[in-house]
Amino acid sequence: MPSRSTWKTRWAVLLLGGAAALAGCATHGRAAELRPVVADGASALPAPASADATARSPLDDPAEVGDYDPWEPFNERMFAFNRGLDRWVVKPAATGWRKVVPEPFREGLQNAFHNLGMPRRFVNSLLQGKLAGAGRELGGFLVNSTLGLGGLVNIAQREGWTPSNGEDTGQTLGVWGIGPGPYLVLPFMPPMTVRDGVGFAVDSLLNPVGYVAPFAANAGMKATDTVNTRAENLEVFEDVEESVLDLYSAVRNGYLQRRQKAIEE
Amino acid sequence: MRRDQRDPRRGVPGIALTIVAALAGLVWASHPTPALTAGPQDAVRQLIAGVTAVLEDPALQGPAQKAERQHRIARVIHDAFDYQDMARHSLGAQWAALTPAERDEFTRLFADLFERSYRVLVVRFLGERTTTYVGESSDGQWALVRTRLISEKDGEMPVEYRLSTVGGRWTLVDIVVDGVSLAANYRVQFTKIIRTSSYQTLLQRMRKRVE
Repeated sequence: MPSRSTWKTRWAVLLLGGAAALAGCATHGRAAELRPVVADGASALPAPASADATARSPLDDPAEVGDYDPWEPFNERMFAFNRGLDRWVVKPAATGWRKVVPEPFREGLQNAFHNLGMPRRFVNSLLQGKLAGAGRELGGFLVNSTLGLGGLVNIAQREGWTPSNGEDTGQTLGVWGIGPGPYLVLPFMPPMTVRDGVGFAVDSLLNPVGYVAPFAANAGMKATDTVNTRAENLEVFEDVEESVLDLYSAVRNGYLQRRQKAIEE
Repeated sequence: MRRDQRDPRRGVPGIALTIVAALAGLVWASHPTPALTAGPQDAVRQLIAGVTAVLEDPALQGPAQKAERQHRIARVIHDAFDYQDMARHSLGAQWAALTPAERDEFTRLFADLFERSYRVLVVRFLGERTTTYVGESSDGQWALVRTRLISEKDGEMPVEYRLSTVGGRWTLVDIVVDGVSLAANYRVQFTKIIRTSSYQTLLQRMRKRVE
């Protein structure tokens, strides 16, 4: 639901360096799953010296694996490009957008973009065997598209419907047992893995706007979505930057952790 | 004297009581975690209640009180976490090479960064959102408390708290915000900087951020 995507953008904006928006994730928890799902590049290092190590900690995980990023040099260059794009294009546009467009309209627009993502979430919920989730997607779409004025108002959320988990084809492939492959950053694109890149391409086929609007109009809508999302998160993004030491590895790890969680759910 | 003579007869229950008391004392003394009557969820509730109390304190409202507000929130957060353990894990093998003084400095810098992330991603929303407790799981040594931040406008965001038992009480060691473990995320950053540059560079960056 749009509300959910509003929260998501906190990480989504970070993930992208501002050039686009991603969604999707969730959580779960059992005692056996308490350890970090995805560890870090530090896993190549030996365990801490036992002399001063405590007996055990949830931060210890012998099974942890590093973020798989064999194309790091290439990815870092692409990431720098996207960061530049964000700094010089997206962020200024978002700042201007927020001055001109009133908050309720921005929120409505965010709701509408989310509503248009229903086919992707519906189809992938079905493909993952989540029938209840698919039902909520369809029901929410119908209610929001009619009573919610074409999706501008998120009636379903206000009525307390369980929010969508933002299913997509990359997650479906993961649920089917396909590994993520190498991490990948491309210009003008959100960060992804090779598997999620394939999923991203398939998801674009599930975008209803692509079938009725010319490419330019569709791209324009995506740009508007990006700028609108960025405008909603200007301060948060700046604050997050202030608490990060190495943005590239922080974004990569955040993305991989969230994807892993989303697939496990 | 008569009283003394009667004492042995009366002393039977007295001795029994003494033995029971001694046994109880032994049981109490040998109990490994006497403070664990407060569970992991209590520790999380205490943290959130402490932060919320500061956020809602009428005397701390407004921009003029921002610094004081942040200072008090930082204190609440700091008391709830086991930063020494967190810092050690975040640094991996490098930790073993540090002197005690260097470890203290790194722990202090790490705590500041971690608190900053928690403030940015979660604390800023605590005052205006409802926290619901989804569940908790524990194996006695460490635990996970799952919460959701809920607002009518923004929907839900999952926030999980990881805890371990330290000195007989539950202490927080990580927060998973929207699926991302902050401790793991920092560890990745530290590793990358040490791998591509050096520990000194990491330290310099941390000092610069914290300043």
